Amino acid sequence: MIDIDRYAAYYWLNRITRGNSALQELLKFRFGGAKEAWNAGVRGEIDYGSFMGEKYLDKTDPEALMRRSYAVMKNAEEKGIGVLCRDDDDYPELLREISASPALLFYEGRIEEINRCKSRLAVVGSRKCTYYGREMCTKLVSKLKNRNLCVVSGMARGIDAAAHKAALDSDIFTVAVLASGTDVVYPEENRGLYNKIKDSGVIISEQVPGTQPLKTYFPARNRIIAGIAEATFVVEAGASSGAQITANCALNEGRELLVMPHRIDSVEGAGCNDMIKDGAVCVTSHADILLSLGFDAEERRCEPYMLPEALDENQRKVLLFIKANRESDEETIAFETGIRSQEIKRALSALEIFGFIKKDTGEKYHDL
Amino acid sequence: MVSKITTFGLSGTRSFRVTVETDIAKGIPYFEIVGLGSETVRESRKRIKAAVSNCGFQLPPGRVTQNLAPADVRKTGTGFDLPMAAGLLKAGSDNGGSYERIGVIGELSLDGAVVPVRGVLPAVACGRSEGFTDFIVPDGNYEEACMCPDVNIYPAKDLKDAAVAMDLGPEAFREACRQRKKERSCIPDGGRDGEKGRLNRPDESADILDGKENTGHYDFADVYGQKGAKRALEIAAAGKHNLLMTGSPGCGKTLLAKCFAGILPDLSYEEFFEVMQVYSSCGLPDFSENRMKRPFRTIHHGITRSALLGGGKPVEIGEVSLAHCGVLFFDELSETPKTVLETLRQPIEDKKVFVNNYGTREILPADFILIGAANPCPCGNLYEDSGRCTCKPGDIARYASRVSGALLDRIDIKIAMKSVSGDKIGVSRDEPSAAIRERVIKAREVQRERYKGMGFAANGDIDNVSYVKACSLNAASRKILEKAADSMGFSVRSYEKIIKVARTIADLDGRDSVSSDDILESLSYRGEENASGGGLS
Repeated sequence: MIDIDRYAAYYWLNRITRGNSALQELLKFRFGGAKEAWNAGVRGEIDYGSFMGEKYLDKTDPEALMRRSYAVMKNAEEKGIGVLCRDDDDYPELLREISASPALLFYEGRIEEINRCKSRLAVVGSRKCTYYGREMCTKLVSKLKNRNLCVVSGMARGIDAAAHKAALDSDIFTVAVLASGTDVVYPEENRGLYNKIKDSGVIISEQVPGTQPLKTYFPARNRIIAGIAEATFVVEAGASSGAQITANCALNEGRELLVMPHRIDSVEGAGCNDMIKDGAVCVTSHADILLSLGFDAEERRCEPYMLPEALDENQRKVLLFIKANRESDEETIAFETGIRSQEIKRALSALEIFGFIKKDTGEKYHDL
Repeated sequence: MVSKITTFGLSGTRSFRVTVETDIAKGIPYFEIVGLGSETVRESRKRIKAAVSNCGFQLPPGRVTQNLAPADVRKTGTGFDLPMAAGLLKAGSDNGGSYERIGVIGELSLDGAVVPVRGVLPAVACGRSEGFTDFIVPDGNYEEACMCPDVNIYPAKDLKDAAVAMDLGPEAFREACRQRKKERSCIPDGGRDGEKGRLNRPDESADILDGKENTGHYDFADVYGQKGAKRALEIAAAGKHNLLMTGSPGCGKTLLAKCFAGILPDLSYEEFFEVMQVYSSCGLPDFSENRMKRPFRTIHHGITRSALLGGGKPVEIGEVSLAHCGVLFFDELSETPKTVLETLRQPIEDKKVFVNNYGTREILPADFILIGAANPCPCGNLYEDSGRCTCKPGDIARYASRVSGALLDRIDIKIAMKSVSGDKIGVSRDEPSAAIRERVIKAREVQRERYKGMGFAANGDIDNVSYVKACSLNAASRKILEKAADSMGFSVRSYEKIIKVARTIADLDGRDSVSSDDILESLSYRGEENASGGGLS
């Protein structure tokens, strides 16, 4: 149940001030609250032309705008979608502080948890991610459990989805900030994820329910992701990537920027390496993340790999080769090791069955 | 007076017997043809009239009515010219009577010469199965007709020649046929001695090749790298498995497919006969020294549904039938409209194709190995080193789903290919196709032995009931398969495909039972399981 009149007033205020929060405060101050301002608007007491000068207030058909504001809130209520305004207690603390904080947030799920968490981490990265990016994201996020922190991301394909998934699997509270309305699932393939987040996390959007994801909404959505969290962790970003917009938002608001390093010839991770070069925190283990969020953590070193005894000659060779290169394909292994093609196929299948390696797009194999 | 002549009509690749009945009644001269003849048949009146008079015969005066029996089957083509002209002459002559003993087929030119027609081989084969032994065919179709064993073929040069031959008694006719055969001594008896005798029309073999593609000069030895793909193709050839290659443009998919034809065993005599009938129906019989090679047909994404499956009025032979007993190479599979691509499911499943022909259902043979080639994503570089692919994630998923899961289910072997970079090209040549072909032939023989009496030729053919019996697994391989099913999670259909392919691998390596190594290798050809059912690779 939401207070329709109150939120309709806030929505209307936001619209007639064209999102200018200072002007909203001024109107609220002048009339003694959002609802009062609305009532004044109904009575025709607001002179749109003269209040703070003509250019600030939207004076095109204020009555229609009021009707629309009411309809939006009514619709939200019917759909069971919650609404918060900046003045509410449950509104994310840190988000309130950013320069262009959204006046209203629509949400589905337990939004109050965001403020109750000890710390919030935004995890972002490319939609078209590499196996390395996806796996490391999963590994690092799942090591953050039992710390009472929450993971914020955008429910996009690739890294975002991996972050949400890892969080859900490790019982970490997770926040998905959408560029569409909270009731519009995009991309469709993440519907399962969407339902799970709605159940045990929270879905947030500044767009009114039913809004389709337009291109222009995504950068705006990214500022909310960065704005909610103390630190933003960029897992994988190419030279020009949406993740970099999020990273810039975080820096502009004075938040911590954590970045995972990539191979120097990696195209998918070029943006990450650049950010590290420019002074972002380089994340080589989950400890780096925890330390920058103010938790205690112990550094962990990489251990040399142990090959199990049960493997035969070819399997050992193939596994060692893949481990050394992190990923490889049959053709390359055949060329480098000189083993016959059918022997390699056997070894790869066996290693995959026993869970040492994993097959990815294009029959590339990765170690686990 | 009424005369009767036996001839044959063609529908698809199948011939049917037609009796030309000619009646001459007294009255004002008049010539009519009845019996559902198409425009070409009705036009033959003009040709017959000219040919008859130009050969020095007199057109019988009176009312001529010719009937093509059975009168309720639509007849098309020009092969009725000769029997109709002969019928006209015989009905007009004094001895009249029945000439149904001899099958006559041929088109007439205005000067009376007999011109080659399509579908002579199916006609002779059809006649033979109905008990006919004597045939008169156009001189130009003689070699083709001789492919059929145990028949007497008389090559007619012109109408006069044919009329004379028809009047010979059975013994004299056969003697004349033997005489003709002797004159062209290099014609093999029913094509049985295979490649030994080159037929005597070398100059025409070149342009006949637009029927079967000549891939003879492609050899695996000349393809550098792609060892894994070569092995997969070897298995596909040995077990008649359908195969799909995905990889970037230029990684060698087309080249490998063309080489694939070179590792297949030659056609058996029965298969050759079937293939020849298909090609004869299209007027593309192949007498070159490649005639025992399997057909190889390349099709591209622009193909229409009827060009692929056949059909139309009158029925045309589609690519799937032209690839009968051979290879259908489908390039750019995922660029093909779904409506066209999905029609492939039925011929793959049934090994024949059903098309509609004037309201009757025509069955055309379509037993081929499908070799598909596709790009993994719109730009094609998905499998290449990072950063080469410029596609959006959604586009990749959409692109992959263009080929339905149902079609992918019918493809046993799926491989992903990466282009070979210059520095990794080995210096040594690879194994030549001939060596691979030896192994394939051996494996096919093992399979033929195993499936004797079951109606299958190879592991790729067996249905989902018989494979359990044919491909028994030992304890070790069963265990490894169960473990794989656990960790990889695949469907029953995949399970079946894995076993079939493993059986072929064992056959190639000469093992009686399927070992765990075979299962392991087979697993690597399964491609990626996709929960939604769609998706390449």
